[in-house]
Amino acid sequence: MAITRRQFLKRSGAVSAAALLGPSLFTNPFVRRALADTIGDRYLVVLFLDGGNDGLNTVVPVDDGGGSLRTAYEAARLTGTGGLRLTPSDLGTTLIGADPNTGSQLGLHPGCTGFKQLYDAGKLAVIQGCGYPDYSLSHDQSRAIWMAGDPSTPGGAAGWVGKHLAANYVGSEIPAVCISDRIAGELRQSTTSVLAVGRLRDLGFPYDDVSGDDLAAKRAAVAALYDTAGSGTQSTIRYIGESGTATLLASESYPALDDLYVTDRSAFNDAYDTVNRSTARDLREIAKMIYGVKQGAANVHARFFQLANGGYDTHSDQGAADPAGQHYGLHKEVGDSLKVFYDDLADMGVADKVCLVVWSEFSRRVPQNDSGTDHGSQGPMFVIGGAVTGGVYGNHPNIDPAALDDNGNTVYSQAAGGFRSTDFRDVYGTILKHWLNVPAPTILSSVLPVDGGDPDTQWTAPNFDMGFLT
Amino acid sequence: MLAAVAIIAATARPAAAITVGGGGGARTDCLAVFQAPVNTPASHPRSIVCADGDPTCDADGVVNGVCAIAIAVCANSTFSPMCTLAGVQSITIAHARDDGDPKFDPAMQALQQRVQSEIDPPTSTTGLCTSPTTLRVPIRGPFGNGMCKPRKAVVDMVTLSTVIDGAVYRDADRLRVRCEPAPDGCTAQALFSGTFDRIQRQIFDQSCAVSGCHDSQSRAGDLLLEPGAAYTNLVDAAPANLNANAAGWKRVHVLDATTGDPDTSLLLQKLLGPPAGFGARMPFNRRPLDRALIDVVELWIAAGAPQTGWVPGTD
Repeated sequence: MAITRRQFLKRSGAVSAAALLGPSLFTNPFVRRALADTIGDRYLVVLFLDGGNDGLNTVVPVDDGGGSLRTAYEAARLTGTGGLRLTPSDLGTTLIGADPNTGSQLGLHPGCTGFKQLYDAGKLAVIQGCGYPDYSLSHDQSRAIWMAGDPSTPGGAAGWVGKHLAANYVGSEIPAVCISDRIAGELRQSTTSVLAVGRLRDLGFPYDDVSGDDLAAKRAAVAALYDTAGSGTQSTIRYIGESGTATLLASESYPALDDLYVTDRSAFNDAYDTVNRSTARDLREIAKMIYGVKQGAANVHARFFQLANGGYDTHSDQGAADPAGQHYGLHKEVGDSLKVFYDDLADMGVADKVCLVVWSEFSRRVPQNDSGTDHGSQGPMFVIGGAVTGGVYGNHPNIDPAALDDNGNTVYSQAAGGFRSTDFRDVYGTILKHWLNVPAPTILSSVLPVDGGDPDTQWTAPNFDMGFLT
Repeated sequence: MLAAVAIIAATARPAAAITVGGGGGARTDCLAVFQAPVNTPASHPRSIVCADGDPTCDADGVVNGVCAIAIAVCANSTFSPMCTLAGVQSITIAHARDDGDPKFDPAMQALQQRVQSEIDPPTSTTGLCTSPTTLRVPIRGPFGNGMCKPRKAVVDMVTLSTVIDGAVYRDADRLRVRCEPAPDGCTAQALFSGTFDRIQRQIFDQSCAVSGCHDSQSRAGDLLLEPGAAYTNLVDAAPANLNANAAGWKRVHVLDATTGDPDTSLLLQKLLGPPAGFGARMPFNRRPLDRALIDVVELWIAAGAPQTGWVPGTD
């Protein structure tokens, strides 16, 4: 949905007024709707590959092109027992485009058959070399940085999507759902409500389980409590009341989406079962909610979703092209799940309304160890959707042994020229600008603050027009 | 020699996976089981004693100083008529989390990942197994007397059932593995490709680049000693210790391509027990390294710390 100048002025005015008048302005539903219209009839899905996906064996140089990527790859990834080298033959059926910098032909890991199908359909953007300055090798720290979208204040900060939610939604709404038992860092904030649920059919309000005979009375009492709190003047109590009401309504609305989906979309319901992996089942929960919104289900308005798949911390027994290998299995699971999800969305008629971004907290070290890889730096991201312009974006990291840092990892650089890295905030910013219609100045002031310092080594010149969304 | 190896490989029995309960009560032992090439005791095999290179248990079948043991986990097994429970809520492999656990083991992490991905609890499906994952157990040595020793490893697993007839059952399982040196398989030249490879694999990988210390997650003293990172982090690198740095020491002090100074190389002095103010002896809170291994480090430094090849006296 394009933003008109009138809408822009309206939104800008509301934000300014909110700053002057305080949070109570957000309870005005007309103002709130104008803000929430940033996403319009679209959806955003964030998929986290937990553990640090090995980017070098995910987007692999097949030849040297005009450089030496393949030669350097073969020096780092070995053959024989425990070897991780993917041969050109292994990559023959999952070729994608060429590296924009070196011209090296690229191939996806042979387990990435689902990704390859999406790539061939022009719906997958492969964004190479994503990272940030002064990278951390700690799962916890790097995860927090990516989730916050801010290397300077990762701990406890709101998530990058959460900051957007906080500026556009209030406690009485549930704009976002995590397929998890906890709120993901990307969605963390303290202004609006986020639902965390593993399976929709299991969602229920936590009444006491002493007796089910008086549920109606309990429900009435809880609703009255929340209603009273929600109409109070003290902001925290009001938030508890509003979010409580939202939770109560969600607990009564979301479980029904399960039946609705299973009944109406049995073929796709079965297709996720065919993949038979947790990522497929998690994506199916998101498909149920999108279908529910599309069908106008009561009290279902979620448009932001998060899910994660673990197991990418492949220090040991990573595997190369063997289908029984760990990394192969992970790529097969996620790629095949995403393909079913995309086909499901396309069949619903909403494929071009959904944008899905895939990230991991870091890549792996360029030289392998005995049978796996240790923590690294820059790696690829994926963006998928009907409105995505597929292709290869960003440069492959420089994996030449002489170019690696003391830790054996690729070096982040913003210097103009061949191996310029992609800062992950440029990917986020492109999504915020072109999918959520957030103006670039607002992104910079509210979500993704730029770094100071050396422009060759820090993120000082954002590019929110990477091209995969327009 | 090559022909002899080929004959052995062709005639030897391949590693056979046998289902073992892993211990615990007979009624609950089927909740999760191991599939592994158990071979001891012979009358009722439940543990693995494997000679490096023995293809009946070492999956790589090569004398390389490491026993590669293929292990799978199955949920809701039907292996025992005494156990009919079906319903697994969770399977937890010990030391599988890369969160600073000093006993973190990447092989356990790999096994846990298989469980999460391929069994994906909760499940009541019977006989649901992971693909085998490879537990790599290195032998110990070679030491100064030219001897190698066996190394033990243990896989501990705790399984909780779903609520079955109003109760939750617990099944604690253990699989013991011992990797023994192959006969005539204890020479540095046979097990490693060069002096630094030996230092990396026999010292750093086993005693330093472990969770909570000089691994990626912890990077104690701003020093990473994992493969691919250790060499450049050591050779001619300034130490983080302020006193050592002020004294002009390096982590590995190289003077030229064939000469180094062990006396001002903090790596060696840390292994020996450093002067006051230069930090603690390493490995921290562990027994000192075998003196012969420390000698390998000293000889390597004195020879200019080459990244490849053998320094005389270290093989």
